[in-house]
Amino acid sequence: MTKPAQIGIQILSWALLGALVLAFADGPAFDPLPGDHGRLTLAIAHLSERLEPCRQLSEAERMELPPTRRVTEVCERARTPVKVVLIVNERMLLAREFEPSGFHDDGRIYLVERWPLPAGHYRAELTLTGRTAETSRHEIFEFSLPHRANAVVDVEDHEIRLLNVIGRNEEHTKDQTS
Amino acid sequence: MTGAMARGLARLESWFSSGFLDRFNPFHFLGALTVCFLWIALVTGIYLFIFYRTSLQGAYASVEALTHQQWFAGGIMRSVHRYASDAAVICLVAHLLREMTRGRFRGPRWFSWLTGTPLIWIVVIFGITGYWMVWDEMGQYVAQSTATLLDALPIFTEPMTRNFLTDSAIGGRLFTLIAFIHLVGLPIVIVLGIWFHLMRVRYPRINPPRRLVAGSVLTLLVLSVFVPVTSHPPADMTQVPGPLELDWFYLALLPLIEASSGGVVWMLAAGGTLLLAAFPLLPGGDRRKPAEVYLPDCSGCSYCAEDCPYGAIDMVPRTDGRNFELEARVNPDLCVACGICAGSCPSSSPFRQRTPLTTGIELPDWRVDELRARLSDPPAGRGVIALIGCEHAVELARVDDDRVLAVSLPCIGMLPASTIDHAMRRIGYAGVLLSGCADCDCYHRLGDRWMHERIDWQRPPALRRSVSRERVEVCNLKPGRHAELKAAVAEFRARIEALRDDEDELDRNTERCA
Ligand code: HEM
Ligand code: SF4
Ligand code: SF4
Repeated sequence: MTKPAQIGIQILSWALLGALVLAFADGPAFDPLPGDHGRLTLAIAHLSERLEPCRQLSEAERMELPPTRRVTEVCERARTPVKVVLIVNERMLLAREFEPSGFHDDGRIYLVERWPLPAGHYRAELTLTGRTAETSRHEIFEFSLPHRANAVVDVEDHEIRLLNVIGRNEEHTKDQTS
Repeated sequence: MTGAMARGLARLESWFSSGFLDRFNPFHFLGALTVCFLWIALVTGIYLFIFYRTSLQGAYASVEALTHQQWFAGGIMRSVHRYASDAAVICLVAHLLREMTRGRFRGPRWFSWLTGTPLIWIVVIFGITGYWMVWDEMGQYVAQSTATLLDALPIFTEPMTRNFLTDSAIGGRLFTLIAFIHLVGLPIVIVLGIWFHLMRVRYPRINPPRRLVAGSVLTLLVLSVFVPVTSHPPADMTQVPGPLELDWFYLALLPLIEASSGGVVWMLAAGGTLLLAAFPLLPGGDRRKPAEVYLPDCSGCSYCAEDCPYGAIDMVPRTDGRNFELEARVNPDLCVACGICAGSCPSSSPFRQRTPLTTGIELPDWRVDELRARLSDPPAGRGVIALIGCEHAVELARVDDDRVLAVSLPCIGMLPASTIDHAMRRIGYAGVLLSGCADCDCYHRLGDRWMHERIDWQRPPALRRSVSRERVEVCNLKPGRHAELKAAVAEFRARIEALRDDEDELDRNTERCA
């Protein structure tokens, strides 16, 4: 093979590597959302009610305890599961019961779920229902979801907020006992 | 099947050899090129780090400043850093596929294979944390996706994804942690990982030839000048990022999260890794038995231990009471049965008057006695050539020539140099043509190099100096290039016959003068 042909192959080889790098280093483009959609995220970090209410100890019971541990009240650690229902524009996106986290079911209930939704106006209804004495929560948000917007309904213990988009909390029915 | 694939690969590589020559063929240096690209990423990364701000607020602006305010330095460095990391993935995948195609996961090579597997993860995590650090929309996407992946594992009680609900939710400390992993943690881990990967490979080729380094750097520079890397718009949690010009070399698995779930992506990644790691368990690859030492012929010279490409030979104190300090001992778990040690042992000389011929160390399935016996039965006629080759290189059987006796060895390094002398002086061959793997591509890594050094008197036990080097030729060819081998045989024969004519002429002249 002649020298120029060899140099040609070398240049071609490096160009091949360069082309391969360029072909995948910066695209093909990918869109996590379908065209003209936004996203609704439901994020929950919620400490539910105790399964059994705390109980006052009687004086006799207190006396049985070692002197340094004479508490007035004992509480079971376990907390109730919570049923979460999310209805958006009459469509049920989620209806599931969630267990508390932790080995003794004593932690918060955690959830992060996302749904791509066509850009538009929405009415989202969120209901949290405990199994026993849990107080129920029911919130309705009205908001418009622009293209690409990331609307978040955030439940952090007793606070329920609509984040990242402009909307209206239509009905506020806090602490309705079930 | 692997045989056909290996031949196909050799044919493809031959095209590159025709341009680069065998000794600079990039396919022969894929592991080393991976290291080279990682080096380039390290050096450019250090430059970027000088100007980079590891805080959530400062990161994006600092990368923008690097890219635009000093495009001629920081911008180029950034592009080279990105493209070098991508080229490293290309070379890594090619390296893996090549080792796989050539069946180099079998036998004791399982160790290099298995320790290579986690390197893929390390490299991918390098890329993911790197994209996170730019904190543009792609960084946001990568952060949210990796958080979703981590949430699919039972590690954290509080989901990682909660950190990315709003701009104010993101922890600056988490961001600094990611930067720390990319800048300090992973560089240390990958150096250790590569060291581990090469622990059983003696004299590994860690650096490619200078010519390939120059080509790599030049290619990256050209890409960086003509297609400089830029950022997406800054991260903004109120928006879903997109459309994104993904770097598919590193992020290809993330879009699967949207299409399926974090759990599915983990299953795919873990399943793929296990499948890859399990390759050494595949049946097939009829393995020869490891080398054996024969103490009566071992003088403890250490040549074999010096030459073994896999460090399978230890020199240990003598156990047979003879008056030598050391003896060779083979660790069968490390021995790939290449036979190179038989070529290193001075006792392998076929001139020794002993039948059968024994030696200090050799393969029980391919003894030096068999080599001497095979060579001692040359075809009749003048100008017969001994063609000694390697079973991983060009196929000798395709040279259909009744004045050639061909012997294929497990590796050309198995050939004791004295055999060449013996073939011509004792048996009467007119010449010896040696045919090993292509330059810098010895299947057993070092056999071809040792053979060259032995016949060039640079390595003991060397060829006797009185042997006419004009009657010894070397022809390194890849499988499939038998046409060139045939041509080499013809050319070699013509040269030897010319020598013979010269010698006859000399003889006649001497007669006349006498
Ligand atoms: C960062 C990634 C990697 C780097 C930098 C790397 C580098 C290297 C280098 C420099 C060598 C020595 C080559 C020689 O001296 O001939 C080597 C050998 C080897 N590599 Fe890798 N490697 C990587 C990943 C992998 C992977 C993923 C696999 C397969 C799963 C793999 C399989 C092997 C094998 C089997 C050998 C041994 C070949 C022999 O026994 O002669 N490597 N690697
Ligand atoms: S056969 Fe090869 S790997 Fe085995 S001991 Fe000899 S030189 Fe080492
Ligand atoms: S080369 Fe031969 S003589 Fe030397 S140590 Fe090895 S086996 Fe013994």
